[in-house]
Amino acid sequence: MAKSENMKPGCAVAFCALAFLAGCGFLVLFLSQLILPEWRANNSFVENTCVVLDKRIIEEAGEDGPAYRPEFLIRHTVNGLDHEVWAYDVGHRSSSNRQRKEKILQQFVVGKQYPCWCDPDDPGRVVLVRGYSWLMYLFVLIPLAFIILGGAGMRYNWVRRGKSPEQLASCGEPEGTQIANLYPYVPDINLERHPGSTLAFRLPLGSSPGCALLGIVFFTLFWNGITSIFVFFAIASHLHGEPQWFLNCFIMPFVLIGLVLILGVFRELLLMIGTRPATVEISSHPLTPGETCRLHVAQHGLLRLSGCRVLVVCEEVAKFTEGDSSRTDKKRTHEVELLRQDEPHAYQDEYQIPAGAMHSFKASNNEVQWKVLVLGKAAGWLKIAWEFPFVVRPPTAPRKIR
Amino acid sequence: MSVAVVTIEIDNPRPVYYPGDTLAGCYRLPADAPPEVERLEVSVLWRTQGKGEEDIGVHFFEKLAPQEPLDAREVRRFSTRLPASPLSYDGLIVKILWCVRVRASLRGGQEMVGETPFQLGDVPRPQEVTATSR
Repeated sequence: MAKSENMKPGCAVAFCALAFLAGCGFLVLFLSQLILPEWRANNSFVENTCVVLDKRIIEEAGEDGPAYRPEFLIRHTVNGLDHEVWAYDVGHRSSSNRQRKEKILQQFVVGKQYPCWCDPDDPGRVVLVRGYSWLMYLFVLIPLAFIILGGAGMRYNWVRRGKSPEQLASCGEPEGTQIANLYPYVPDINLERHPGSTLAFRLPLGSSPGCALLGIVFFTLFWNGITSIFVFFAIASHLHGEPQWFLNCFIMPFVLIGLVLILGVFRELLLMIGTRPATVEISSHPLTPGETCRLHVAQHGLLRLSGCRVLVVCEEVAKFTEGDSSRTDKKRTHEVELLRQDEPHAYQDEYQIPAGAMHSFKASNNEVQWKVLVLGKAAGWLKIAWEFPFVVRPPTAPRKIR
Repeated sequence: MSVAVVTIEIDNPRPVYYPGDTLAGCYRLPADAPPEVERLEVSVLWRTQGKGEEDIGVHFFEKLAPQEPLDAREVRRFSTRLPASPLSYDGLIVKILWCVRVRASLRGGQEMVGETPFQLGDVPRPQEVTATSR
């Protein structure tokens, strides 16, 4: 019956539990190895003075080549007892940048006195610098994601266990798609609160320009935010005289996409400032197959619309996964052009829904959409496509007519 | 693992049913069905077929969870009034199919499933229109 064999709920619970436990394990590790020691060093360690006796760079073998960290042999006195230890920071953090570590080494002179902070429970545990590694804290998002996704997956699959697909489907009804169960899976667009000025109802815009702008701004910030981290490392490598050419080449396409996104933001901004979406009004709603209605379309805004077209279309929409990505395919089963004109103006005409047409339908992955499309170009080059969805009910549907 | 051996019969079958019609019928398990039936479910449902991931909507659902072994030869009935939507649809990439489905779950995870399709409404098959506005 199903297109693909899904994992059984019992196995899925075990898989999600594994992800949840792995997340918990990494979080505990992260807390115990980084956050807690840093918090203790900053809040519980007692200030003292020490003498630097020696200093060195420790080289550690890593997967990406050697890593370096500075260390200082210091002597400090606690309760009359001298302690000599190698120390620097609480996390013993190392990196591949040897030059930076040598600069740190130069900041401390052998034989001089410096402040230090030692663990009151273990005077042998001492640091010369304190602070928080805020950037490292971003990595806490990884175990948190495992915990949240694993936990949610466990709950989801636990509820599903031992139930057939039919029982599961009979439990949940799609949100916002039924009107008192009279027309299941027919979307509800209530136009009672959208009266028109010329005809009975004004159709709402499918997606508002503000939402489109907000969406592209968010995505641009997200994309460029991540890209900027790599750009930062690439620039830093040049400044430190160790240019990483592979990194430079690798991030180039990401930077270009980021620039295109920024241009997209400006385009949306220009569209929002320069144009106001057309208004589409309809004489009755919802419609039924075979029914005739009147449509009134008016254009507004500072920028003149050229090549203006008004269409009524019916589209099938199917969402599916291909590999790891979600895709949407659309096929048009009905298209009527009501207007094709260059000059912006108000327009009114009659339109009849074909008698044998399919009604509007909306499920999670499949849809049949009816909409009025207003197309054109603002300022001669900015393509505009405004969608105004409306509802066609099955033939027996009662309707409101003004 | 599923084996389609359940028999479903719709009373006075018609080529097309309309919203508000009553759909009634009976179903029975095969005579040699093992007695270890844990659950027996009958549903009147629609499901989508086509390019998109499958959607399923259950209009009528009845579940029997017997305490004692089921009599496999017993004929059981179902009856429901059909809803206004969604109508059966043989679209280009979205198809809506209505059916009566009986599922018997046996101990050990084995299942017996039977399915009988029927048509709700008479929406004709659409023709593809070349979009002039993409």
